[in-house]
Amino acid sequence: MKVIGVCILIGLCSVSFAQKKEPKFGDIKPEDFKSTVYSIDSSANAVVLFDIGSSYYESIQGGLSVIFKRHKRIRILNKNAFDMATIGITLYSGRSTEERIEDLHAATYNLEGGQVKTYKLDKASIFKDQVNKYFIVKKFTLPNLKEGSIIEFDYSLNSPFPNFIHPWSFQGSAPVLRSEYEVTIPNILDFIFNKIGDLPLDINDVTNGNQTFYNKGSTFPTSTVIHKFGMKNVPAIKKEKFTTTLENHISRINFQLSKIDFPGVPSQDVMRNWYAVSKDLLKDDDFGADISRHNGWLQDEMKIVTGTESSPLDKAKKIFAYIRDNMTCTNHSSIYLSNPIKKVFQNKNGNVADINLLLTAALINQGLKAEPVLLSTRDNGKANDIYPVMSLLNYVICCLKINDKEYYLDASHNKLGFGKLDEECYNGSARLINQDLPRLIDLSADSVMEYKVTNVFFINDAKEGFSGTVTTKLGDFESNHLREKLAKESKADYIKELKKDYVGEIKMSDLEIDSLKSFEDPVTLKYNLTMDTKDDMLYVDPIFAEAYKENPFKSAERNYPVEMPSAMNEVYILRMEIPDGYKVEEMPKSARVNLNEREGSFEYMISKSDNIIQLRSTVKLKKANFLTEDYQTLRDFFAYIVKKHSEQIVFKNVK
Amino acid sequence: MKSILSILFLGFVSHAFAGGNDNNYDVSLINAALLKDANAVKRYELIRFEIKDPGSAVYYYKRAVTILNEKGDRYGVWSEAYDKINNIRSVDAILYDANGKKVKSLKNADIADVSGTSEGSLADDVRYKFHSFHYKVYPYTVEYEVEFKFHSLMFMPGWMPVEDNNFAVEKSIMEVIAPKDYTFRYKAFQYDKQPVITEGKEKTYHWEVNNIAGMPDEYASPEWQRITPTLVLGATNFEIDKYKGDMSNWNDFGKFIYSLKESRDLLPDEIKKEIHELTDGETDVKKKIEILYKYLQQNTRYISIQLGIGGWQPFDASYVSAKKYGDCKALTNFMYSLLKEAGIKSVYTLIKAGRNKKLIVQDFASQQFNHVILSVPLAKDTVWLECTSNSLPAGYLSNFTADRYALMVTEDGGKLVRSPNYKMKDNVQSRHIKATLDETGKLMADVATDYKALQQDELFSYINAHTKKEQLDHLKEDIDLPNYDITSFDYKSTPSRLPVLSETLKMVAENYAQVSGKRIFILPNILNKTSLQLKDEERQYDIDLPYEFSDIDSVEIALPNGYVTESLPQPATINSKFGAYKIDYKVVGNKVTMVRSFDKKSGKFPKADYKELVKFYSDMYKADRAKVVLVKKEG
Repeated sequence: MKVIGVCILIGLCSVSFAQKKEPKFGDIKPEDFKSTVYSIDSSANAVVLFDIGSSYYESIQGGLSVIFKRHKRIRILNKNAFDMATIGITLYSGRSTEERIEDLHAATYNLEGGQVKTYKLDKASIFKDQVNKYFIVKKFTLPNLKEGSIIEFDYSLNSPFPNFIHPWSFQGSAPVLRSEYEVTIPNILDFIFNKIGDLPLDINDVTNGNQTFYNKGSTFPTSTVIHKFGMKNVPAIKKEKFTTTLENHISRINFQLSKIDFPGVPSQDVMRNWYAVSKDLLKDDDFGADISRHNGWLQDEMKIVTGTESSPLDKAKKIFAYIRDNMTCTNHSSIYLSNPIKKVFQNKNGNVADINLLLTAALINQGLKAEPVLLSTRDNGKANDIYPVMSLLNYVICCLKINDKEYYLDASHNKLGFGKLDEECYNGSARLINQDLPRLIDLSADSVMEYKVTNVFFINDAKEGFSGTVTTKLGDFESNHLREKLAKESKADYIKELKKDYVGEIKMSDLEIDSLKSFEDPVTLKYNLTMDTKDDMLYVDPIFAEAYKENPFKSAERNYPVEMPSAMNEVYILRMEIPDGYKVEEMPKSARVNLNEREGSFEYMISKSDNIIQLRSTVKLKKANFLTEDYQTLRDFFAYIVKKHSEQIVFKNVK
Repeated sequence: MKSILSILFLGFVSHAFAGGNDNNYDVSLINAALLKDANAVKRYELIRFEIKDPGSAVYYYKRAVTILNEKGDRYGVWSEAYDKINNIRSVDAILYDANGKKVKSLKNADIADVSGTSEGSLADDVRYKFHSFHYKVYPYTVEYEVEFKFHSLMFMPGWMPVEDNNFAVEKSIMEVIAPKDYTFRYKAFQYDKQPVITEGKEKTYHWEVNNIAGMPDEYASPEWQRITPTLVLGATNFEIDKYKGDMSNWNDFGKFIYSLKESRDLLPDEIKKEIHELTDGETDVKKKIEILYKYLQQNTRYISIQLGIGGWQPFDASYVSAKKYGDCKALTNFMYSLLKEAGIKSVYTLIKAGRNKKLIVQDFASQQFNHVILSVPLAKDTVWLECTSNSLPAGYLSNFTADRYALMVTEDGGKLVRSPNYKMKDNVQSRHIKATLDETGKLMADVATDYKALQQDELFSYINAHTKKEQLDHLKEDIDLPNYDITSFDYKSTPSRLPVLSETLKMVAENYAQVSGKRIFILPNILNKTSLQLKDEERQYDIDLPYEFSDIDSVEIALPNGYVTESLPQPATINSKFGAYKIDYKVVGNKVTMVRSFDKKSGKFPKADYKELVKFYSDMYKADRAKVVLVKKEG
């Protein structure tokens, strides 16, 4: 764990702070209970009437503290929202410093006989839960809750970490009528604001003010900048399939310290640019200081690993496999070392930064050119492509360069091959940590193609009868999913699952799985099929298990863009003899459709010559990300594929 | 073979020297028979429970497990819950490689200590400690040595050497050491010997098993106690917090529980007044119960607070009156108090809640419960009330608490009774679909379904916890059809002791039928296809089928003009000891109809019946998916 250290040496103390006109705690009137349905969302279980917060600085002994205030009022419409009346406030509680809650008030209001009755939270009903070494949660639930109650709470959170301003979410699980956040920043500090989510701000004002801080009797008057952010009528968050992470769509704002400028002290550029940050990272004990050192202890170990191998690429492959197979990743979200890399090597485990920085060091140690790369995984949300906002990054991989060819390596997953990345890493751009040229590396989902090919042959076999073989070469991601799956469940269970696709006259057997353990290659499945040919009419689904049986885009509505993990190309090829004693009575027609002109295509080509039917189906999407507006087209495209894939070949017995 | 025998003997001899294993975890020493089908092998285990007095004990164990592959990783991770009553005194651990060579040992700083308070709980004492070596060079062995201090004998540990399927055991020992004047109780399953008892200053009881091969994971296998050695322990007299109790039998244990809740039923005057206003005009006792249950449901909510003895003792009725919330104990006690004020006697009843968590060792009194409900014995029958639910009808228990033993607790003591059992003819799902198909394959259907008793549980709790809009979104995505939309829907609930939930849907499914040239393929069984398919393999254990129900389906599809039937599936009738299945198809005029019925039985069956069970489901799987083929009339 690493906190960007901002050392504020001067003790400061603040003057009184002008309060703005805000709703008053407890100011509830009978008419507040009048609405039972709110136009913002007629089916809501609860509506947040307002959620108003502010952050500002105060002087404390030895530095600055940040005060975060919040006042929230919620109308509970029915019992499904009762959970919202149990509130937890998470506080950092380290060994020497901690965040504190002050002035917590909470109350329930019910309308009883035309009168507003107030039930206050008693202090004895506030519980403290020590979650782990670093965090506690103050938890309480409101008394006398009923359907229709209004609940309200406010508190002040006093934080001794001046470089951290509390982030603000405008959006939550219930719709919000009014959400406002005011942040007052003295001119000695500069922050970069990250606004996330698709909804626009209704209020985005900046005004100037003054505030005087004190230190040991001397005063520091400074101007302040007051930022006010607000949204009105914010809809509730809704989960949808094919989104990288819901986090990218929850409307919120967060803050990253960029500059400190104390009077009389040279200004300190905290955020800076990628050149400066890369330079420092490579010198940082918690990141890159170790990787370019001599690391004599690695020398001997790596010599054993690489043996007599002389080709740089083969050497790199051996080192990679060694690190991958011997180190266990304990946490896939970290950009800093938890231990010096020598310790990591001895412990045989560490977080993703530990493992991939160790890998980088080992490659460098053996004379190869390797550099660390920082990125944010899909479930961590989008990174900032311009500023070095470290808090948005959570993952380290290694870039290896041999003869001008680059390989991206990740030794933290024990089933990833050399040069392969997990689909979580394809989340836009990654940053090469190089002090001379810290460039962006394109790791967008659009840039990866998941390629899958299935070949099916059916013949009239003298022994087996009408029978065939299926060979499917999976794409890289699907190969990996299957490897993970078969590490957790048995092959027998997997066969049982495959068999569900073969009902009726057709039976599958003899499943073979190739390349399950050779991680550089795609996994290939092979199995046999036999079909009973007794009936007068024979109806055959020519795409068997590979058919799109249902539309992946089931929901009729869409709120967010579609974000799939990759582009795709799925090819299915069938070569089928006409079963002995039968003739083709009817078969599907060839067809071809495009998606938005050139973004995707579906081809279905079928032909018959002599006693052979040949079919080729290709489903291609050239990109992974589609706009919300394109959703319907995408859904129609797959609906057509589902329909076409369900068409049958009919054979008639002519014996 | 000889060497195995000698290990076996050594095991018996060495029991007097606690922890007397030689720590040789070389994987090559494991008997090959144990490796087959195993993901992990327990090399050595010694559990020692040393009773000091009714209010204290030391619980010690040493457990070494060899992890053979990734599937076994979870047995190498250590985790224990603790609280103020039972706390962890020490943890030591060592990691060994395949040759039994020590790789490293645990450092205290590596143990994580986290809150056990779940999202659904406001406050409790439970915390967890956990640790992992995060090692993955297989095989490897982890050895953990742990000591707890127990400040009560209310909960005594059990012994279950085989922890899971595909988990083999080389050696496991259970020891209980008790003062000579203290009697504890035990009951063993699948263990045909008596414990070896040695007397010194104290009395030591010793159980041991050796060389148990991994057990396969089988569908509908019997409860663990019926297939592998287990031991349960129970106290006689015990103490907890400042309370004294005795659990020698259910009656005494009930007396103890009663003592915790006694005199906690005082209601404030304004609530007493409300009760009388609500019920005094009503003469029927069952109606009174319904009125007061509704009052409870409308005025209180479930909030879990379990601190110290509060994990076992309910909050006062006055506390619930003031806050309008409580946990299962508090709400049950509150309901008890409401009924008492209305002159109705009810009984605080302990139960083990959870789907498929029914097993209570009925002839062995001990703390086997995790939930409290209220039973109201009347002249002819008993009304059961789940007091933590805002929506269940009075008198109905869902699959959360139905059909199992429960302990009724009164001033006279405890009495084991059986909660209501819902039978095949109670758990009925009956559905009628009336549909029209057009030439493009589009199906428009009206679907009317009645779900009864246990068949409505899941849907009932879903619709009670979600908005209309969420229900619609769910319906639009959750039905197993390729491409469809729901144009309208409605739910109607008929509360009773056998509640019925009626669902009506209007559904449009584009391309439901496959149109290939001049043919149309229709799957008449639109919504009720069995998805179960069993692995066809040798069966090791008997079959235990829980939950019985009955499904009735009728489907009527009007066909587009100008088509004739080319192929109609054969009717199928399967009668087996597991149930009866029947499906039949007909074409009358321009309509195709399907009638399907499935009566699923519950019960225990010998393993020899497994082949028949596989066939039963596989025949049904096939019959449920049969298609009707229509072909366009020529000319």
